[in-house]
Amino acid sequence: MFRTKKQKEELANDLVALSKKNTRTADILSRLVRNKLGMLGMIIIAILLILVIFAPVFTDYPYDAQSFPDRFINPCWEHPLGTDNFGRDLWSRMLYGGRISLLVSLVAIIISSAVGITVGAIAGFFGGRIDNVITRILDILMAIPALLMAIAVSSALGTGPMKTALAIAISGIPYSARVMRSTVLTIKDNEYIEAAQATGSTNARTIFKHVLPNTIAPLIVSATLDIGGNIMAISGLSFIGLGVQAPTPEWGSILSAGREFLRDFPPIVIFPALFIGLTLFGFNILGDALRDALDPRLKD
Amino acid sequence: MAKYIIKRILWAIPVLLGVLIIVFTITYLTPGDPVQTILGNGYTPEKYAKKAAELGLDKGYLAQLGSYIWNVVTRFDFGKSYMTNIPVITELTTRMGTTFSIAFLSIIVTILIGIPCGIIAAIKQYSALDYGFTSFALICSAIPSFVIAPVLLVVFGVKLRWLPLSGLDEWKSYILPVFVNALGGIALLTRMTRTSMLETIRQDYIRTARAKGLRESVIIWKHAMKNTMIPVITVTGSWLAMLMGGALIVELIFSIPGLGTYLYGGISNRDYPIINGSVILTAFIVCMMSIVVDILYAVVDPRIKAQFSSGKKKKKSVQAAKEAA
Amino acid sequence: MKKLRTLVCLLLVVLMVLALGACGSKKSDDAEISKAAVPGKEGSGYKYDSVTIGCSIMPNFITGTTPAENDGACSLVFDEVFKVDPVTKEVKSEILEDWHFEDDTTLVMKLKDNVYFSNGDKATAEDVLFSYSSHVDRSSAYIWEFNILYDECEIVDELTLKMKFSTFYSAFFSSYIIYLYDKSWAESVGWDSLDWQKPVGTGPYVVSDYKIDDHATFTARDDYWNKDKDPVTIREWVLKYYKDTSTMEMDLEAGNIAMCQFSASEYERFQKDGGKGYDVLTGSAGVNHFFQMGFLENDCWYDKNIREAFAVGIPWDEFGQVVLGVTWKQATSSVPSDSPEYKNVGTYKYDLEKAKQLMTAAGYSEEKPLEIHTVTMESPYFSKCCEAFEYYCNQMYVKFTFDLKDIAATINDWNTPGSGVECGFYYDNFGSQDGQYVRGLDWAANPNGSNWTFIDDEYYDNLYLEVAASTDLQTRIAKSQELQQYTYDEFLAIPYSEMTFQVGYRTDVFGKAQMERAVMNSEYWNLANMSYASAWN
Repeated sequence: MFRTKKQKEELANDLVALSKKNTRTADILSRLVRNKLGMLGMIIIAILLILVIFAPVFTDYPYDAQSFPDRFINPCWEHPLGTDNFGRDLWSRMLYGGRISLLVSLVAIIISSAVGITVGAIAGFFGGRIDNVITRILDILMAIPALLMAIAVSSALGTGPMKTALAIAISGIPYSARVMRSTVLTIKDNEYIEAAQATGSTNARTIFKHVLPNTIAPLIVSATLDIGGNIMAISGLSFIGLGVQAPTPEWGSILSAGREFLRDFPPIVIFPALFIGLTLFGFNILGDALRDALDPRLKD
Repeated sequence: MAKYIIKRILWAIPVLLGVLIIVFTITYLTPGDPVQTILGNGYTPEKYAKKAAELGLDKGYLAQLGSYIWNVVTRFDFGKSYMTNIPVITELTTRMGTTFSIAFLSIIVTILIGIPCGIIAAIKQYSALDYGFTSFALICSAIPSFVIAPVLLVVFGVKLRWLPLSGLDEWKSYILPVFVNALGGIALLTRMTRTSMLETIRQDYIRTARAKGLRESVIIWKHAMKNTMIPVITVTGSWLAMLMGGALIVELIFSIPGLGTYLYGGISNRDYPIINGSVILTAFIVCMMSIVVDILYAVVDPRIKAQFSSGKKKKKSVQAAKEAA
Repeated sequence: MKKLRTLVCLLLVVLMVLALGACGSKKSDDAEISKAAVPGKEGSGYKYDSVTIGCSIMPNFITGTTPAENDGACSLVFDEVFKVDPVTKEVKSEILEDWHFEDDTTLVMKLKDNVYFSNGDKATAEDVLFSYSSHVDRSSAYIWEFNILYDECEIVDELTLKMKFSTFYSAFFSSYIIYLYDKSWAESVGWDSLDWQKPVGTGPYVVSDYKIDDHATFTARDDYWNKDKDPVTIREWVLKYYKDTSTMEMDLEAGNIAMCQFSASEYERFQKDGGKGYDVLTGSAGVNHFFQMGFLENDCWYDKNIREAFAVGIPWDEFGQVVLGVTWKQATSSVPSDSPEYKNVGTYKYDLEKAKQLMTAAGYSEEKPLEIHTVTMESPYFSKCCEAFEYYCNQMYVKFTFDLKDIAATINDWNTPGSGVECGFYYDNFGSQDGQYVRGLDWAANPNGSNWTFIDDEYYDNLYLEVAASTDLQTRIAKSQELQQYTYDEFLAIPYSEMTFQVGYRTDVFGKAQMERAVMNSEYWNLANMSYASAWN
């Protein structure tokens, strides 16, 4: 599984040779591969995704099979992570719960990125009054507590995974819009944009063909880092009673429901925390590695 | 420069107004009736009408919004809590002291530990120290605060009995809440500083300085720091603003009566004056913090300072630079 | 560069000063909050100078007009007109010298001559009348629940009053906790005034400090009217408020507070590992936990087959143990076993096959299950109830769905017919002072309660009112037992546990006998009882 240094160098060279056209992509990939921590992060995430997506392969128990005599069993062969206060297998709940946690987080990212990118790009590119107005609106949105937003969404639309994703997405829009805006501002002043416009490119064409491709890098980085942050936000919401509700399993709600058993039966708290922690860890170091790889100035 | 600051402060007013209108509308439309919450079960329609009139909730949306804004602007009257009848402004000022004291202590600890760690990690990139600090930062940010806080309470409060478990009665009570807050902040700041420093020291002008033979410490402190600090200031500013708004989970677990629990209680009871008042305060803090951050930018980066001079001047100076090139 | 450094250093210094200043001023502003119990000073006559206890509900005002405010705070500053002895279950009075029935429906009450309020006013019959009538005037939660107050009242002289009832309900003495208010003071400040945080009462204590969401301090009155007969031995009570109950329990273990309520998991740990320096008092709260069927919200409940299916198709003992942990106590009637009215009507035997047959007879099957829904509060307890219930329902052709909402939204739905609250898990959290049945199912016979607790059965409702109206104890017991049997036979409400309370207390501060005199159920602690010299035996 782990390559030797020589293998890695060869791989890097191969990538370069294979894609003469896309030397940039090859460069990025090779830098990424060389970053040990980044690779570790990728492996962690890959394992988690496989476990979670193919959950029925890895466990026989459904996540909601309660069994009164089997409550609070310590980790053993039949129940690798033990059972909870209802007698449900914790390993299954972690796997199926992971589906919800990751899915909600992903959906939230997609929504907030889509809206944020659009808004930020418009603000950054057109500048002037439009920029001013949009920035003020973003300021207003940022000043509204996420808690209030989450409660409003769940009160108005009901609870459930998708509604939670929406609540988190709305709170995250201002931030991705800001990132996009500042990136666009930086790029806008570059000469090739001036050149493109001088040669008669329309605004839309300029945005899509010249500006956006160069903004992808910071966006990818921030999206990767945000996935972890969103999982944290979901579990924080579950702690105060919002978020995903029973009986849908989700790492954060399992964690907060298990809090009352913290001292008597720690597994019920340790394992969700471990899964959340590992996922965050993985996404964060992957995000950092991506940032290192994508930024040409960090090249040694 | 001063003109810029005044302009920013003036801009804060419509932002605050916007926040108020949005929040007011959200709470107005959210299902859940404060009159019912106060009266509980089994009230008569007359009793309901009387209570609603008392609280001013029988008027229409615009009338309620209008009278609230009028009271705030002319008399600084944020109303009284529906549940406790205590004026909102009194509660806010008391709780501000509590929350701010924890917030400032937390941010100081965060800055004092986070920034140096990040700098060291950046200078010695790819070394054991770098991996160590980075991993530590990542682990800290990966543990939810409501998991680590009870564990710390059990260890330090119950088993060892070194620290008090709740409230803020003595200086020892500050240790655990500040620590839990700081953990999250340190993780963030270390990684941010490290990345920013890495970006900076790869720049050409740093290479030039090295070529000139300057000492490493001079390079770092004299040349690299300023540019490094810009994104760090942004992050610190928003983190501090969040802490000043009241870190809800920490306040809940350590039983600290601060701004976070105030808003949370208000939302649960649909206590509109509390919600509106708290949100205005939080929005105000965020606006002020962003102004402070912008000022610090200007202090740190003369290029940004130059931008604050009027448009004409800028064009002239850019023109002059172009001609000189 | 230098400028930047100085600026940053300056900023840090300013922040540090601010922070320290905030800390410092905080300390001097607050009253001294002692740890658990501070022994009394020499020669003061007090056994303890200050005792700190923990509570998780802090009333906004201390008025004693809603059951949720009977947190011990009220017992310190007010005297009750009638109260029930926790141990002997006798009805007594702190402030009445005598009461008797002139005839079947007229009650005469005579005040003691030396009762004084903390502001110096003397207590008169007017004050007693006002204490009752104010509940009616304010339509407080007590009154509409029971609807069994007097019809008219006559002031005979300064200390005597006569109450006339159309029908006298024996629950009159024990169902209400009526505190003696000072009429002139209450009328002068009004009911919504902040003065009610430091109310005027005849009790042995006054509120010296009240900080919402933080703590309340009660100091013994030097001019307490009953001082010579039964002085208090604790000079100061501090009620410390906790938003998080696990922190409160940890504070008890660490010795920072002297008494607090225990949750099921904390009690379980106590049973396993024992407590270092603390013990747990457990007892019956006087009511049961019920699965309640919302007759008005879903017609399915009118079908006896369906009701029986729920009774036998769900293992209620298991359900109770999952939801309540070690605090579960098997319920063998709709009345708790320590009530004088109790009759062992038995439990339902779990028979899943029979339940399925009943559901099929009612027209439901695996493909077409019965759909029921509920809305309840988002809390660990209700969440567990709903999760467990959903699982068991799935086994017997029932599709149970639920919405957990916050308090305000839940109350909104509970008060609005048609919001889909078709069943619920109910417990009367006011407890029953003497185990009387009427307080156990008060909402069940009252269609004006929540729309999901009313049992729409004519025979039941009539029998219920007969029980409540009986003035003779033997008749009352007989009728109540008939009602319990009827409830069981007709599957009208399913009790899944007796409600027990657990109160942890430090053994170096309080004794067990003393605790038994004071703690009546999880909501009602008579702290004054604990403070009297007579309690320390």
